Amino acid sequence: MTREEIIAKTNAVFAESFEIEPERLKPEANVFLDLGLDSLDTVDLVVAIQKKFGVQIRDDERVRSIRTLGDVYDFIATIQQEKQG
Amino acid sequence: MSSPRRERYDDVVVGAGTAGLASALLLARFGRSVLLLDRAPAPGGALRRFRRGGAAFDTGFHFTGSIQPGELFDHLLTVLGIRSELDLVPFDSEAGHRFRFAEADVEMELPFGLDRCRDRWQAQFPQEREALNWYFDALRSIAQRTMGMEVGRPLTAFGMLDEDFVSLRSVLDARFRDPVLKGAIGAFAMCYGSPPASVSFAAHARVAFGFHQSGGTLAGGGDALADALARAAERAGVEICCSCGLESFAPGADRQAGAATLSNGAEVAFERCLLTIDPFAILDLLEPLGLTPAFRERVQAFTPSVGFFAAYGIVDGPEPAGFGRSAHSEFAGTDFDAMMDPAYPGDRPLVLIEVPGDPATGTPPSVSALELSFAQDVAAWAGTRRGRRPPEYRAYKQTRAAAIARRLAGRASYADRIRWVDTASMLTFRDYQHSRSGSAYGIMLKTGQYGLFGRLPVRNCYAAGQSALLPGVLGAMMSGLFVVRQMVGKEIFDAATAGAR
Repeated sequence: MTREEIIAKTNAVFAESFEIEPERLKPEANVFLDLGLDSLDTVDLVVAIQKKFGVQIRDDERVRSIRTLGDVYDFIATIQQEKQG
Repeated sequence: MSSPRRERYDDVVVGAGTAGLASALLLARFGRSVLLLDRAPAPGGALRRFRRGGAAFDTGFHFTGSIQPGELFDHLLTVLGIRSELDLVPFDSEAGHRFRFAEADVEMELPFGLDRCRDRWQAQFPQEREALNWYFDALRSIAQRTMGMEVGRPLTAFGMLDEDFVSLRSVLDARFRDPVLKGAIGAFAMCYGSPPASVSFAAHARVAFGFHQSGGTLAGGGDALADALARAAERAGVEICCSCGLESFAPGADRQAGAATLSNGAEVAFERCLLTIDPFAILDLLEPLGLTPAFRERVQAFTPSVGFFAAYGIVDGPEPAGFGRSAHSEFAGTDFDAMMDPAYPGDRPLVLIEVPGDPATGTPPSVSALELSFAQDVAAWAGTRRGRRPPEYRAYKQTRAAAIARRLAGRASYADRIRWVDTASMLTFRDYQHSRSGSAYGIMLKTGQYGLFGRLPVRNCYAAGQSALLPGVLGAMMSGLFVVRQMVGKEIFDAATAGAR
């Protein structure tokens, strides 16, 4: 999966599952401060990403270190690599 | 119908089943004013028994694991302060569970203790020696790494384990070859209600660990536990309001729920609300307050667990020897993914529970025969109400009960002395237990699934119950403990319960 595809699918998760306007979905946007999620939304985010990308994700340290939308893209890219490897 | 005495409570707990009663009494002990609501006329939920012909029949609680002194069930009753009020009745430690696989013509008896069961299975399946060593080590390891399962260890976060992300099916197929042994491991699906291809290995292991430790029941059945919990809750100051449900929340500011409107029209203000009800009913209650599509989709992806069709009978004449000392299970095949498919053409898994009589009260010995069932079995009458169902529905119940009686005829030595007195379909369970489909264990414990537990997206609302972490009475009690720990703060909770641990 290309970086562009990851970005498009991730942004779709935020737009569809959290009703965030697409123009606010910039890589530097802080998921919590700028996009309005809070720590209790992370489980919903993990579940939505699992479904969108067909992967299984543990709610572990890597998830908890996510701050920006760019971090989410990087995290998914890592998960995808692990899945292939 | 009773009405709340006050207009405002610190905590409102919805659903007076095992989880609701346990958490309400703990919250009250931490000094909170607590209102506990239930739509049924008495507290207890699925713990409640009903009476026919002088015998008492359990509806939801038949037996549990981890029942010996120092094991989890015994320990949780101690933490809740009701251990001394209850009489634990262990099964036969040599044969707590008896399985029969009809097509393979294999019978087995499961003793108490993980090592002893491993030894017995290794003697029966010598080819699987290494796989069984691995399997029982994995059960122990998963229990150790699961918060609150190992008595005496400090509580940490209830995090997901790697084993929450692999299915039991994948473990069975990767590690084991003998179909009967795979069947014997898969048979614990009857105790959590999800087939091997769906259930995570971790969820399977948490339940199987308890049943391998020991098994048994309570003198007086589920009623005894419900009564002990309700008495303790009232002593702690919980106000219990029955025949009274929570209808809706007023909108509140800042992702919070406002005052609750009850089914009797009363309005109650609260600081926090704990919902120990069906996850789909939680979604319905919170939906008008504004939820993200992400949360809605997460709950809608849950699948209700399988259920049972139950036939209840009284055993006339003298009580058979060893009666009530084992749970008997009868399986046509060995593949639980096939047998837990509604389209399976053979006899469905059947569990026979024996309840000894009590000469002191003149209670006769009785049996409950639970045969696997699916919502599809009664879909034709799903829209009908209790007491107003057509003759076809009664015919369905009679036909199934007669088939169960025929299956038992060749199996139980006293089968010709059973007088069948009542039946329950999944609609009966749905109507009396207020679950969406009459499922026996809440929702299926699917691989990689995050259940509804703890604080919810409506931030002054919390969830607990058997769908939260683990099914059954143990899972419901554990979820009650952990949600209270989250609500009162873990330092305060751990300090207060340190003595009991």
